[in-house]
Amino acid sequence: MNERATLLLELGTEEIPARMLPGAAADLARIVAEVLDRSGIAHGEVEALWTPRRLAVRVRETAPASPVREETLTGPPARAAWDADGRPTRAAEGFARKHGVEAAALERVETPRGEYAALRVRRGGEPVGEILGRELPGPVARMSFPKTMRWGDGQFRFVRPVHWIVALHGEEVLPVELFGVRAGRRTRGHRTLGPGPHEVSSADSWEDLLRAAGVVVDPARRRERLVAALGEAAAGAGGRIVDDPELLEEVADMVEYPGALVGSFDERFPRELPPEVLRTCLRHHQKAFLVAGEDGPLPAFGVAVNVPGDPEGHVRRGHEWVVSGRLEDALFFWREDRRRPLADRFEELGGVVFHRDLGTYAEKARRVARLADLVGGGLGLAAEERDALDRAARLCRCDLVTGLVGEFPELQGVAGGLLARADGEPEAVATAIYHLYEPAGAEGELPPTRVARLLGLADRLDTLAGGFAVGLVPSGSRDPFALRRAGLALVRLAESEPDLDLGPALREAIAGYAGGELGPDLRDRAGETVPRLAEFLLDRFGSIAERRGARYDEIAAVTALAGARSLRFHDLFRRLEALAEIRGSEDFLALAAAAKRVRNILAQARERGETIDPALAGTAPETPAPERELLAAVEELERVARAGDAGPGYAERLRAIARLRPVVDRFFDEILVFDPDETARRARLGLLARFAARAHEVADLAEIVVEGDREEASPR
Amino acid sequence: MKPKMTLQEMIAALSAFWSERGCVVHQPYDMEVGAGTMHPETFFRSLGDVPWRVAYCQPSRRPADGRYGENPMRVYKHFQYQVVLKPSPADVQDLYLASLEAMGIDPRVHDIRFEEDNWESPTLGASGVGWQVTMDGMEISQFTYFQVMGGVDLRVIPVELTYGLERICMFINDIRNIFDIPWARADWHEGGIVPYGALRLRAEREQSAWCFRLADVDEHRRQFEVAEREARRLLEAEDGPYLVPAYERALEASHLFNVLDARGAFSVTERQELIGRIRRLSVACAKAWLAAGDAAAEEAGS
Repeated sequence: MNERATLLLELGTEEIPARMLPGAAADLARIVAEVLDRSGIAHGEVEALWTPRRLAVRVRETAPASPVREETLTGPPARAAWDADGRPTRAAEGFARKHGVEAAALERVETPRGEYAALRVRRGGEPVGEILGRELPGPVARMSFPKTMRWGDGQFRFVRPVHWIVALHGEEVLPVELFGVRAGRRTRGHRTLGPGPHEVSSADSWEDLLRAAGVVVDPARRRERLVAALGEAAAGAGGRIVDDPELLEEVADMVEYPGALVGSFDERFPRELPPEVLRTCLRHHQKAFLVAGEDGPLPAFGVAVNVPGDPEGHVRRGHEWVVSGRLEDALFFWREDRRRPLADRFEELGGVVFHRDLGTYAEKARRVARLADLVGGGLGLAAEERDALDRAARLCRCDLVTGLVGEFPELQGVAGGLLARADGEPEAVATAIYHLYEPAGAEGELPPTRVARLLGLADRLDTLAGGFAVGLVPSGSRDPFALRRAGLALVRLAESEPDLDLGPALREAIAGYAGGELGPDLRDRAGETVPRLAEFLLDRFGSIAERRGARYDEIAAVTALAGARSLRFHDLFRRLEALAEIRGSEDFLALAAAAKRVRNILAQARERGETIDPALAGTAPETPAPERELLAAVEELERVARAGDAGPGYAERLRAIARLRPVVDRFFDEILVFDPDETARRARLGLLARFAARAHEVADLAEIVVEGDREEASPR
Repeated sequence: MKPKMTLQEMIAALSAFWSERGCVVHQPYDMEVGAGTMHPETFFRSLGDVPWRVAYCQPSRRPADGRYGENPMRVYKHFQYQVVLKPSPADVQDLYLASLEAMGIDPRVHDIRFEEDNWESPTLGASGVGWQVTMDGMEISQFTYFQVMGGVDLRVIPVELTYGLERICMFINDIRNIFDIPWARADWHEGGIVPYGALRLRAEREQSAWCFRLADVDEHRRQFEVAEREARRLLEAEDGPYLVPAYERALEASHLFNVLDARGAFSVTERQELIGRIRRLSVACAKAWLAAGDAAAEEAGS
């Protein structure tokens, strides 16, 4: 076989958890591709394929062996390798022996250092199977999973026991052994539709063979077919499946055959249960989809099943039975929870621990209420909004002690909102509680009302302040208190309030942990906690900005202006947008370069102990024209800056700065800053300091990376 | 309607099936336990490298699950069929599916799945990796590869199959209330069967009352202390350890704890503390068993 052919590796296992499958298959594909690439084996597309019972990698157009290359190994100099009669010396024989050849195989080659004995060898040409057999076991055994196990005699560790391996290059079985299993061409099909074992004649026929055995190995195809099957089943029941992409992905990875069916339940469930609860109950317990008609939920659900049909109705009846039991429970909790108002549960929160070192949820609720009021008051919230915010802050965790949340933790917030509404709490209060956990991350929707956003903001502030103060700072993959997510949410919520400075709010959040009734006393740690927290939030800001397409140097340019003293995220985002807008202009980039030059000059001056006093600008007895022009331009910028918010926006201000380019260029072309005359020197340094203050007003332009001086870039 | 399979026929079928596959068919342990795993023939024999195969039906008491006989699915005491195969054989999933067929379940007309469900027993200091087996969406078994037992990392891995007998019986016979499932065929009895309720309903009502309302909390606490002290004394005896009675005291403590828990006697921290105390007993028993060595294990037995 000298032809390129498809390479296939299939690890047959016991059922791997759906949540681990895509990552595991991608890892395996990466490992195979790395082995091929390292050996220089040419190949085409690398695909990761999987079902619950197999992880597979298929590589198209794979060369049968590593490439052959000739190498010349230089030995002793020719005069030491052959005697006068041209017979090889002992030195030549030793060199030849070292490489496993006769001395007769040595040749003479010219090198810059003279004539040498040399050996031409062919390297590479190693069959792909041997390379894989040697290189795969190590990295495959080290693949990482959230949880691994041993089995049998305990020799191996993997996510689940491995039972068969198919390793083929075209039609040829490769000598691979993993987890004590020798690869062959035997695979297995669906447990009941075509168990096998089946002989795979070639890597290219594997997918079709498995399809005939009831297994769809391509996850995307399986998902597509599942969507179609669910849709068809739902249409048969007069409705449609309510979209749930996350659930779809999960259930598509729990089956080898993408079947679907629709079952029904009693009509009183959609009538009496809020749709959120109905949907969560179906999803949580049964991984079932809600089926809806024109006017909302129908008394029906859809599920993925691992079989093509259900001739005797067993599968449908089984699911209906379980679903009905679960809905019965949910309805029970929903009714029980409404027997008394949410507000009555506040006292019980005193028994629910927020964090071992940070007190209970009752204490947290009081702190959040205080913080929300301070922040809301500072933003000029109307009296009735402040009342709603206060009420919502006190009630928003009460759903933790309801039966509904006990059963469905993912309904936190939503359950509280629904119960508050049912209690007749003001709509503003119910809405705020309902959306407490939004936004879910860097994307996710923001809560719809200002009161809700401020509640979420105060809640995150309190969580972050407490978490940082007791040392739960995330590091690497460790983030036990989910503070990164809280930080992302906080930055986005803060962005929605143009006038909000989080700096003072952070200090207040720490002060909230002031002992006594409110919980532990963390005041002592405020000094070190606040700056670290500000830095942490600026990092989260950076990651959100990056998702929105900002470049790291732009992010560095705006975050350089912020810190514990001033932390206005709305403003930082606007500055970033302005930067992006003006970035393309040549004048701007040139000016950024000039800004950097000014920064360096000023740093140099400080090092030399020069006086840098902005007031001295223009005070030298003789001021040359280029200097006068720059001073006039800086004064104009200063005038505009004094107008503050009433003046032009950030983009316009950046453009105005960029327009200074010719003036700045001329200044540097014609003026010597470090003039021997002290008065002239001080006047010029003072002028540059004033220029720098204006140039960096919207963003620290010296952080902007201009082509050609990348080495100065300092990513945060 | 004639039942497809009665509860006792299921137990007999499983015992015959696993007997044919080399299992010691044992009897239930004669003490109150919360799960079949607590049977000494599972707990101790999972330790060390000596192979072991055992099967038995274990009545399991979970005081907090009692519902006065009013819930169609939940009960204070249910019957688990428990199989342990050590080391876990390569074809254990196929064996398990074949055992379902032995009970008259045709895997071709059902949707049987292995869904991730890792097991942990804080009182036994044990954990394992595996699945809940669902049939048509209903959980019918737990399938666990033990990884740790009594705080000891296992080298030779046992696999544990736990069948929820009542669930499966409800399923096979298409019955929706646990108390209606057929225990035995009986032409002398009304309906031609003896239903589960005839044997169990009264006990469920009374046991629920006992665990939720009547149990004397102080007396249970005192008995817990006694059991713990006795276990320690037996383990630390100069001519000991007296492993089997010590472990039995740990089982007692565990059941007393469950009753107290159902009575709502604990705060969160106290609950954690008591779980830790039971675990320390289990771990001490496991250590003592291993210290005695595999030879002793062979001749041991409870």
